[in-house]
Amino acid sequence: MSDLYFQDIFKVMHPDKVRSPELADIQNKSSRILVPLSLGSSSTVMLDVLNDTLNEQKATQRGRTGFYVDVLLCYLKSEFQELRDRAKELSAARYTDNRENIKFHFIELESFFNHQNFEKLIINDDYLCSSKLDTQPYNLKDFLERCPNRTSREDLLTFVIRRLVKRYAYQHNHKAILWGHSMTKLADETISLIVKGRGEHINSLFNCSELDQGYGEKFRHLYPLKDILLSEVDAYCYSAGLDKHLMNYTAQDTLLLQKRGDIKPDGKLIRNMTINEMVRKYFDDIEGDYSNVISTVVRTADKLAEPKSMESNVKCSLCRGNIHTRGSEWLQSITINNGCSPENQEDRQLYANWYDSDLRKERDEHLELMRSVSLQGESAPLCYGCIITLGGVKNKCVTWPQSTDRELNQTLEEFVLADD
Amino acid sequence: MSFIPPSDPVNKKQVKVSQLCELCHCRKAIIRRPKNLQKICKLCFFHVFETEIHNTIVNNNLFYRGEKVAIGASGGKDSTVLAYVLKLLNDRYDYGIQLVLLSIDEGIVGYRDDSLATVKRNQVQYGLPLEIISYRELYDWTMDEIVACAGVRNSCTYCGVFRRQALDRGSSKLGISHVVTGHNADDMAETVLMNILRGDVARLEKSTAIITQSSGSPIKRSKPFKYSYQKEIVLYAHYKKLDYFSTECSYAPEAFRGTARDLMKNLEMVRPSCIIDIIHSGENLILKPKKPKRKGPPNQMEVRTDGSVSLGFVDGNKCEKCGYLSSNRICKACMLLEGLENNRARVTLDNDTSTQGTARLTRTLETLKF
Repeated sequence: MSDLYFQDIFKVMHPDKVRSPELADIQNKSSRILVPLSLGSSSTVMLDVLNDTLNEQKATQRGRTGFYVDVLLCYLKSEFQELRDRAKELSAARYTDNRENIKFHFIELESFFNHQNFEKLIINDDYLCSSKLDTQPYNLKDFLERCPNRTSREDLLTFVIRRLVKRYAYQHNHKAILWGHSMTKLADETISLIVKGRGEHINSLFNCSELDQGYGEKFRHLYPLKDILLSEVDAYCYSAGLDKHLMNYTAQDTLLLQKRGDIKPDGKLIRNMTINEMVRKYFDDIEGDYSNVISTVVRTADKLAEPKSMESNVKCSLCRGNIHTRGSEWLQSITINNGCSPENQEDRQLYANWYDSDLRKERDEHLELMRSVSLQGESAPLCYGCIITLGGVKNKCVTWPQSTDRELNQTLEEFVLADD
Repeated sequence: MSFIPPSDPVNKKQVKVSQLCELCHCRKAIIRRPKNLQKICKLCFFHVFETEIHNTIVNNNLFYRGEKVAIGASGGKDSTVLAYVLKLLNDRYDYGIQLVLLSIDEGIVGYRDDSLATVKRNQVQYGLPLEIISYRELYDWTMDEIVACAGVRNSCTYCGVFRRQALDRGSSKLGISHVVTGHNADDMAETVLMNILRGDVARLEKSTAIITQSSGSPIKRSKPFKYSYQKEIVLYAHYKKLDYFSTECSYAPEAFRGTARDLMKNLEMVRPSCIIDIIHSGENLILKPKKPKRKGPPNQMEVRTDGSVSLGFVDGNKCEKCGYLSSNRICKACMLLEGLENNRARVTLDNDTSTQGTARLTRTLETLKF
């Protein structure tokens, strides 16, 4: 709370020699924060702590509070009903005293693809990306079906959620987005980013001290649970009775002296895990022998700076992160893509068989598509991580909303719990 | 022990179009490249593997014409392939460098003696001069004795420090100022992960450097296999029928490094490109500028917990005892040696073999006949 920005958000402002009572009131009312809630343990615990803070402020400041919380739940259509019921239950059970301070908003993930200009991003064999305007309607299902595995699906879905949350914060003038990431989550995100070739973005993703430049420098990203292990968060969940409100997540009982018998271990095969899940499993496995690793990783991530950009203000067309290296050139320099010519009659016969086959035709069609996109479209800059992600998607092609001011200001359709 | 290369398998089945190499489309694919998942044939594999190493050498200006280069040769797959490929590329692209094999004999009975026999055969096969430097002649200790004295848990700490110095001393002895080592992309990626997991920020920025050299040192080191996957190196050695020694060091690898290695193997299963992706991330990890430290009183000296005296970081500073490069007054090797000397047994038995480690026992068991 010693940071001026934190004080500006959370402190209860009082009239003084510079501030009239009205001005203090306005200042308190304009202190709005956005809490993305997944109903996992971390975000739920964070919301609960914020609720406690509001209660404390009311008790000590004669009913006045210093900030307002907008809770944002992003959902898939299939899970809306359950999500709404759970949120309603949670709100009724715990936040009735602060009904005017804590509001629940719902945004469908599909809205990312609503009424926008799309562009087709396609990557060629030289790892260069081209974009072309795409006028056909597009939806989330089509989009996710193109992903070859759970990791790339999760990657692209994370971009969608993150972008929706930031857009919401931008449109509703929030001062900060409070992410519920625990120390364990931050550590596995750090390692996962490194493994996915996105090490250059660690600083910009976890930077709490600067305003988000990509969204008009309107808000900061804060991680209040940064110093708390997930096992501690889960233990808090049980002791505060929050475990019954969680959705798609079972809190672990590792720190509890009285174990809960009903927790089943996650028996997923390594092959079916995403990179994040694998890193999380690694941290779980070594926690006994090397318990300090998680905090070490987070502290190391804190010490990282943003690398110098090759060209200023060039953003990745997919993840909108800053581009620091020419990923395609780097990959070209370390990968050879030409082979040896036929050496004997057998080789020539096999080449002839391939030339007459459907495989060759399919390849030529794909090359033709890439050529036409690069001729008619424009070159689209991509960061290294997105080159690899896009390279793994079916036909190395994805339809993605164009990044324009119009998109940023286009109001998101939302459902507010209080309206129901 | 002579080396007889294995014969090629005979397989005359009809090749389907879907089985053909994705680069030349005229031969049967035999491997899937982890880097880009391309299925390629043996000839194309040799071509891309060698050309990529050539590109790494040229793009990073690793050598200059007339340079004498020592190849750190252990007899393992990496250094054997390195010696073979460097000789091949030197002849093919006329780098004009003089290659020498430089081996370190750590003194591990049953492991290093066998691998050195492989290096000696490589010397004949590739027609390269060989120099062997032993821990015994440099430090008057063998690794078997060190493990018997200090325990197996710290074996890699001693061996790592001593080998680094031994390679430098060996190359100085030969009048060579450039040592190439067989560190591959997997090693590089593992180091990046380890440095992050251990929070070793001092090494973080340099963990992916292809050339390392201290300003005061005449010896530079480089890693031409920086972008070559271990899997591809093994396959190259296999298909080229190279003569290499394939046993792991018998003194167990560092436990924590083992966990990082397991993590990487699992990650590779789901995302084969992850090794190169980690290297890319490693190349872009930049530290925030350090906050200036509060100055202590004048003439203050920092004495570390292990008793060494910090000089602040002075690049090119020399050890007061042995004259080797060190950022402290006494170098790490001399510190370790002093500790060992204090614990050396005063009296020993003649022809005592009890210090010989597990490798000797394994070798004996392997040759046991019932």
